[in-house]
Amino acid sequence: MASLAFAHQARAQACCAGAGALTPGRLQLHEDALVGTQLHAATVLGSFDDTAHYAKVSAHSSEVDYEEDLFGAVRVLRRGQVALLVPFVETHRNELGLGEFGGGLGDVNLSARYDFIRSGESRYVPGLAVLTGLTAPTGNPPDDQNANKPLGTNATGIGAWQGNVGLAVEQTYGAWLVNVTELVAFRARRTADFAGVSESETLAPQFVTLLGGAYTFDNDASVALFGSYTFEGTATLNGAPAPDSARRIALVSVSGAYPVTDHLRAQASVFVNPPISGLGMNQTSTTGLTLTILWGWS
Amino acid sequence: MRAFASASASAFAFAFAFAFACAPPPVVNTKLTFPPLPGTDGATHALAPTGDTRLTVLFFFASHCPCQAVHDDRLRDLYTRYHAHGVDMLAVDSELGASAARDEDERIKRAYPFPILIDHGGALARRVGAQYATETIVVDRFGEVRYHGGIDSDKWTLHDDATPFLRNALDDLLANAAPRRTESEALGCALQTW
Repeated sequence: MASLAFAHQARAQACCAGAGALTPGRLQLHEDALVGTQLHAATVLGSFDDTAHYAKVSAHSSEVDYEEDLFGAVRVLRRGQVALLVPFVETHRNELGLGEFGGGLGDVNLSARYDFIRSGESRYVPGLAVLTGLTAPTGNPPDDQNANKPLGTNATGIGAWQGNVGLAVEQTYGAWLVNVTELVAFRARRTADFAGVSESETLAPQFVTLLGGAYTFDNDASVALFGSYTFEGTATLNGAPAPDSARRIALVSVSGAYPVTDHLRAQASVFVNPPISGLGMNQTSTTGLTLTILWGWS
Repeated sequence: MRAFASASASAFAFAFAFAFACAPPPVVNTKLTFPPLPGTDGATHALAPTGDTRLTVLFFFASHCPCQAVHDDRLRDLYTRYHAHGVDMLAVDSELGASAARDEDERIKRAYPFPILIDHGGALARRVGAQYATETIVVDRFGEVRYHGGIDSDKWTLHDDATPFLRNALDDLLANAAPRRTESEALGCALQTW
């Protein structure tokens, strides 16, 4: 990738399709609005414990996660856009012979992006965008007790309001696009129900670092390689640190986007949380795919 | 959460202020005063019509842009159709590193019957607020900008039912009428001018 930075002749992206391959719900250059749906399926490979040690899922248990997102984005300023994402989350879990399927509405997210400098606008100064978002606890939190769901498959959200801010730096080098994004999410305090006891829980701020590269072909199709690392510190329970509650996870994804028409785009990606000790903590490792169809208006 | 609210509010207040401060002023119905630009034909070209020419079409050109490339046939057709009626057509390369030699190769490759002007430093693009390849302005014999926008409503896939913004504007102006539409969006690649 380093050699890309020295591409001799600067060339703009075809029409900035590369950015779309990295972030599907984002309006492309000239688009005023879009709506889309993303289907997501993943199987759990194993999990990381609180010492970051990875262990494969046992032969007697399995889990498949599904998510269907409906999303839309609207340009509100020449360089500003807002987006809404409504997820539906389902889990199918098998444990010791007991199979369970559950799910429902996830946490709805409203986000905004403002591009102070668009990628490729300057040869030497990268694109710079500020991001912000608000996630409502519209999903079921993990502690939501449901007698019919002993394996907890009805959990579809984190149970707390989340606000996030971020900065995205992005530049085009010929047909290549490189993106680095840093996001931080702040979570509001919530009352959680742990085995019938109400406790005040505050999840630690979550930091997400994303690094991606995309290549755009002459027909505006694009492929992208993308990695992220999510880190959050120790949560607090009733004002005191909750031991061993810090979490982190890495993710690698390869995606492709194809413009069926000027308005219709199809995208697909495969992803994995690398099942390598040290790359996760208190999280599951999954692998799966996403399919996205979206319709944009110029 | 308070830190989040404060950071978000500050960022977006700044974004709104930035948006309004950086919005290019409209150029339609303003006089285009700008020095002549050198062309790939070795001559220097005034941007406003001279002699028998009634209108000058200036379109911003980017050699790498597929949206530009798919419009090449339409641009040649427009030239053929309107040149005899006193319409001059000039391409303008405002991108960083624009070179007459390279653009002359592009002109020959694309069989443009008109020269490409070199707008060193992108001064003309900034003057008229042009940000995208295929963005077009039409200047009348009084040096006034009468149309600013796209060649048509197509991006990189051509449609028979596309709205021919530029052609409509030329038809109206040649009929001594005001253009039915004076502004539209040019759907080309972002110009890299700095």
